[in-house]
Amino acid sequence: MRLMMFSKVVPLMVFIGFISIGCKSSKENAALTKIPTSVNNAGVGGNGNTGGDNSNPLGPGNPGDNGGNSGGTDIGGNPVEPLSIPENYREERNVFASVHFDYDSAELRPGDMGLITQVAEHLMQNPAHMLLVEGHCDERGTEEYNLSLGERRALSVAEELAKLGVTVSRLGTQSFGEKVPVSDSNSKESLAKNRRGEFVLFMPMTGVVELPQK
Amino acid sequence: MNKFRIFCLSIFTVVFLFKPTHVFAAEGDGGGRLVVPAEVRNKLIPVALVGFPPGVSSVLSFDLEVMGCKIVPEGDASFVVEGKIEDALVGKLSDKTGNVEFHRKYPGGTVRDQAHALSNDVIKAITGKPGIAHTQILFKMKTGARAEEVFLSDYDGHQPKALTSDKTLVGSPKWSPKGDEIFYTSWLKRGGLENTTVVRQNLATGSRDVMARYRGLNTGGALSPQGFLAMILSKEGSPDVYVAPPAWEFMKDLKGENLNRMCKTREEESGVSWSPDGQWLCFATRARGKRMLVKVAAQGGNMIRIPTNGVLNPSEPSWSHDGRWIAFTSQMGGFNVCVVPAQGGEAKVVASGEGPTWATNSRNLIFTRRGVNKRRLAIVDVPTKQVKILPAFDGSSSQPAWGK
Repeated sequence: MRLMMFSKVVPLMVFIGFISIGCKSSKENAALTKIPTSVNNAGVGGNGNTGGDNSNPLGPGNPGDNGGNSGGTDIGGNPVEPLSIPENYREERNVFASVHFDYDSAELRPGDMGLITQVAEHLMQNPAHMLLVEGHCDERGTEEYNLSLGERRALSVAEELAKLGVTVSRLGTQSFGEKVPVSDSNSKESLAKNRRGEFVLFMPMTGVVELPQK
Repeated sequence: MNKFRIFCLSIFTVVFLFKPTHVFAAEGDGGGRLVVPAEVRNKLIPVALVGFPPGVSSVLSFDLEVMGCKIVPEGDASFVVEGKIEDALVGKLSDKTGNVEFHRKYPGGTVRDQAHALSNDVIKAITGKPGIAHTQILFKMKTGARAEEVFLSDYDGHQPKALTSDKTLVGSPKWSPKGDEIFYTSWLKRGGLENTTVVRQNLATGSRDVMARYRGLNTGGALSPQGFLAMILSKEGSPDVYVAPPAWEFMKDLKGENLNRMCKTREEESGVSWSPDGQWLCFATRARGKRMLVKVAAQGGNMIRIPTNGVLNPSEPSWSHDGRWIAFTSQMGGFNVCVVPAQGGEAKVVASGEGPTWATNSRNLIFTRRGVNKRRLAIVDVPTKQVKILPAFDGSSSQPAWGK
């Protein structure tokens, strides 16, 4: 039943989202030519680029695909196009707590597995939702190294979510290196808080969504 | 669109109005023969400045100390630089026995430009190598809570001008080998997402192109003399090093199928730097838990380790313009700027700090030093290890890239 409803709602939502992105991009791109809002709508986003051969920003909208992108390979757990967030989606940063990492490590801690499972379950129960995993580091690394380490951390989380059954095309990763600490202090506790993976959930603005209880 | 035009115009203004005016060839060369002590190469050279107004002598002091001199009273000096401002700066270089090497006038440009030209002449006369006092640097500066911009300034930090105004995070500004373009990483928000993007910006026109915006990490952006663009991308599920062929266009290769993948590891590669001949690409990686520098041939192949004996956790390599050295950051508790022969070997710590890049003289390095709440730029003279800290900018500044 859910799948059937989904198959009707999603294409409409996708279509609306697509139109709004298309309109917005021409204005936004004025500041920096040739940045596509996403790879998929590059060819039709009003910015004159014709590189993309896909005409639908969220793929064919096959419910079995959880409504996500169909492009990209699943092998590395990461399709090549950036996530495309429709304009009628809102960003929720505080739905899930963050996972944390040991110094100079991108290994998931056993204690965080429950949280990651919870995130995976939420995504599977809400097929229209998309997730960005942000990777962050403490400042005890060089800037360039931390940028790559932060990405490695975010990817470790995304890989685990994929293992738990989340379609990888709904998952994005982004490193911020040491640029966005939650605590500026130099204490051991602050550094530990800064070594984290944050879950940023994107969901449609309309409709009733049951967020997991904290 | 208007906004973009204004942006282009501002870039244009930056480049054409604020680029140091060419200082014309010095006039009135009084040809003497300088006596240069044999030990001059690895020791600080004692130089006296005589007669200059404070505004000029501060520029000369900074320049000469950067390039391996020590400013001393006249009685202790091996060389004396004497001069004054008439309608333009006039400078004379002599050794302590009174032999005059030159006596010149420096018309054109600002007084700072004239002083830099005199510094370069002094260094050329004493060491035989061209000076770097006329060069420029790129760096990134924090301008707000979640905002950084790419800046261009004189090498000594004067005349800083913003090259971007995106009010977003940026990183890793780098020069093209010709110095006409820059590359950097931007977190500019598009499609609801601050996906990292490698951006190329033309310095003369201000026009910008997206060089990579795949899912995940897009950074690096190092151009070889032959036009190959090295980047670090995580589009296949792990940060790896990729090389785009000359004239490659991201918008025509949105899956990246024409990129040459230089490594395929689970580890987090970082910090790409080309050898000056463009034959090798150096970067930081990890093998069996150990962080190290490696190089790969430009066309691809095995990763060859560059040993950095004596220090740990190397990252952020920078290959010198003469091809002989690789500077990098080692991390053992704090951060140290180190130098190792390009083929690897015994690494030498030259300063505390991080993120070094070479000046065109392959002798000076500019790097970042962390202070209380603020990062600042500093320069080390590698043979003498003398460090000069640049004047503080308004915001925390780091990731300097030394240009021509």
